[in-house]
Amino acid sequence: MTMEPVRISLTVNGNRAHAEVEPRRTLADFLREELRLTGTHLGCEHGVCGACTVLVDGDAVRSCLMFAVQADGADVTTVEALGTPDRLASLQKAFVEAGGLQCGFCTPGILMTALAMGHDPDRATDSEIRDAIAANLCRCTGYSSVVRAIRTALGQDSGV
Amino acid sequence: MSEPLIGRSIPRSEDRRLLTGNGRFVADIRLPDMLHMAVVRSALPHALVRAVDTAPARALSGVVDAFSATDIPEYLRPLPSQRPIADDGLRQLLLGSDRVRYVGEPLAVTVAETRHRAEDAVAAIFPDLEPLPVIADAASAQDASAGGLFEDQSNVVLEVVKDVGDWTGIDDADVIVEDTLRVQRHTSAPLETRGLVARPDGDGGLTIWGIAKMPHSLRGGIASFLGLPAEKVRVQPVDVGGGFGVRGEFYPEEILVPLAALRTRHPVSWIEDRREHLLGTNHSREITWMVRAGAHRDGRLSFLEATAEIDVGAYLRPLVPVIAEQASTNLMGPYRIPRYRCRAVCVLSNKMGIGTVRGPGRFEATFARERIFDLLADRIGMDPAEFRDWNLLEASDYPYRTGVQAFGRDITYDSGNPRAALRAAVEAVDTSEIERLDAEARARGKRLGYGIAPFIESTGAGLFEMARVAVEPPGTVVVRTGTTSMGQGHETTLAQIAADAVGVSFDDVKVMEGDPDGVPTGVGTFGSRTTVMAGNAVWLAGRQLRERLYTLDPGGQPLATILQEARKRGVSLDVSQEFRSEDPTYAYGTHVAVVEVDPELGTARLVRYVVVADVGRVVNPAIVTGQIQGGAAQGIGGALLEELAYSEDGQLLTSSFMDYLLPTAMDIPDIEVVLLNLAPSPRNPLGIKGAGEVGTVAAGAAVANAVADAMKPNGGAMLSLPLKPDRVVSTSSGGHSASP
Repeated sequence: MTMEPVRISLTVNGNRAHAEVEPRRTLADFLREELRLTGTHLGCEHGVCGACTVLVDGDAVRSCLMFAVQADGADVTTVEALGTPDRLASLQKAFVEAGGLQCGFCTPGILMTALAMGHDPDRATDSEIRDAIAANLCRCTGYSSVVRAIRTALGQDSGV
Repeated sequence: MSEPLIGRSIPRSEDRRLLTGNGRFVADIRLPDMLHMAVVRSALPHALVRAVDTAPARALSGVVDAFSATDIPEYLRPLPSQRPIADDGLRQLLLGSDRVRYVGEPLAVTVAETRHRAEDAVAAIFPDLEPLPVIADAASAQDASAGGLFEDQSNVVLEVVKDVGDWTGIDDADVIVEDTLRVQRHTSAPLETRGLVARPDGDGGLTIWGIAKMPHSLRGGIASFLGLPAEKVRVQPVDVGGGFGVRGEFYPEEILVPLAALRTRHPVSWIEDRREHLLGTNHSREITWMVRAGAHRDGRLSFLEATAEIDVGAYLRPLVPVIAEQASTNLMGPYRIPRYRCRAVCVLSNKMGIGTVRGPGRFEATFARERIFDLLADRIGMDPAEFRDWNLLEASDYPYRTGVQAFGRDITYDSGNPRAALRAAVEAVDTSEIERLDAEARARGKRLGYGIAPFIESTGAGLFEMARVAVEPPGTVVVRTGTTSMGQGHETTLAQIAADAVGVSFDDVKVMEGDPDGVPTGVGTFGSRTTVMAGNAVWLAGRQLRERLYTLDPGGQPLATILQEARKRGVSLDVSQEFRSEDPTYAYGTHVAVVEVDPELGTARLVRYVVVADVGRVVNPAIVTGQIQGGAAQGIGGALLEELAYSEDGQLLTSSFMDYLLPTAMDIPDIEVVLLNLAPSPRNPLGIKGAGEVGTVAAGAAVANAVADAMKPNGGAMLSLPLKPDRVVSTSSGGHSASP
């Protein structure tokens, strides 16, 4: 296998990115190292914990299991696209209100998974949400507050 | 002045940066000319080290340094320890030197321009190891024929005995139950693995990122080990992705990373991967209990005695005595027990060493006690809740002198009403609700089980904590402590306390933790102590500051103005105050688990989970609730899913998240938290007890009691955790003969 760098061009958070990367460079490492977008975190690097979840062409993807070269031509969204500390997106505000994070390490991955759910209120039942985030491990919250946050964000606040 | 902040669920100040990807975790640190470190780890569990030749690594392009024990003879000493360890000979050295004793033990270090290259360098090093017989577990370690992990040294390295009561006359017990129970090896597995970045500074000193839990003592220990004055080792606080006890001990890497930085004269970054984490970050919980308990026919307890065999792994790590003390005293629980004795025995084996993990020794002890109490109640023919009700302490028993000591201090429970907590728990899931859930379960071909587990635990460990509260430009109250947040929301909780103490608004306060140069002294974050110890120190310091502000300006001017006035008059607005407490506080409560079990598959699903807890005065209810919910999730994981399994030949079988199973959103129900607030602690001005571990401590017990209830009358006794499906359906009567 060659380690010769490969040219890639992709869109990340609405901005064009051009780079030369080794074929073995994962998308996660590319985002974190080359693009300095360190909001995407690495919890296991074997595709189980979901902390590295980003959107690639609208789908939630484990960026630790994908090579950067596979994202050539793709439209990638990371947590940095959602909001800033001074201007939180409504999804992020819902997490603040619900107490949906503690250490924050798994949080960007969960936000991306929630984002990929779209704005479909039919999916806003607890069981649908739990199913959707079943592949995002969190060691701090016990998940209840995360589910509540996503339920609010999806527009259905039954309070149950 | 406005309404007090203490007691209100103020939204967390940490959230904004963490939600937007602006957290600063150690793996996010980028410094110019930074190099990357990787670790060569033993592939054998027990071996003599003949040679570790690092030359092939250094020959690779891009590799700047590689060293093993023989390259650093001046540093080949036992790792520093926060607690005095009786026997130096049982401690781990910085790098494996004559012998390695667990798979994963560090043998050498490589430093290269990229992490890829550093790992290539690791692959180029072939340690020459001569295998020794493997001592696979505590049982075989005590065989007469077993060799010692250390020359001329027994594998039984510590024994702790607690004994109270008059043991004559125990024959008057009508019913006696005796059994062996096992808690499996598992750990806290935070989502962020360990990591460190060290940068050599121009003055021969260093700056380090990634220090957590106990900044002052870690900084001091690192400085001392490397022969540097403490003030030349600076600690930069970082965001930390969970801890739950396993961080902040002196692992080899705490010294190796700074050493690599000094040797290469470059900043060096080391980030643990998940396999390394499961191999080499503290394990815990592996205790085998032999328990015997007796009661009278009317339900009154007569005696409780046990031996706890603790598998401590290959070295006597610094927190092993804490686990032994906690296990042997916490078995007593919140009960009136006329006769109690417990002997905790710590045994070596060729596995990773252990440390404190959320509710250390107490998760295990609560499981053993509450499972035995269910068996005892069953033998008497009494309802489990009624049996507890007979024997639990109540308010009139307090302060309750247990008659045992931990680390030489009498254990006296400060305040509480465990009986009331039990009653609240029983009310939370009442009979009609259980009947309804039972009918639903049956309709699905499942069996419903209901389990309870009262608990008590020491929280807010002493001895002291210091807070520094100061007014600084542009008019902010800055709070500094030597504690560290790993997700618990200290920035918010301590700000609430400071704002109330000083008499300012929440937004006027900024909390900065974790810098050992920011406050003269400190202890750290563990044992549910930060809000108790640092919180009270902040309160005391803040009150003093309030008085000074008042003498300068009784009129309520803005802080910026008062600051100028203070400068003019030479009045200091920088107060450091210690809070001291010799004795811990005691949080308590009862867990309730309702499970649905598939009788053929043995799979258990939690239908309801309730934690009733009294943690004294609550500063931020939302934060405390979140901590308890997260703690319960960890405890449920320990009850049903998690296990660090070793093979007979000492290899770790569960070295990834594919095998070490963490609970997901599908495994954990909504954890219902009922905060009782019946009994503030008299041991500190704010009346706070710690809350961080309360969700975990009784979860193993509650879930096991529930599953056992579901599988009656012909199911297994649920005496071994985790309750894997094959164990649940096993019809054997004893836990020790269930499948491995």
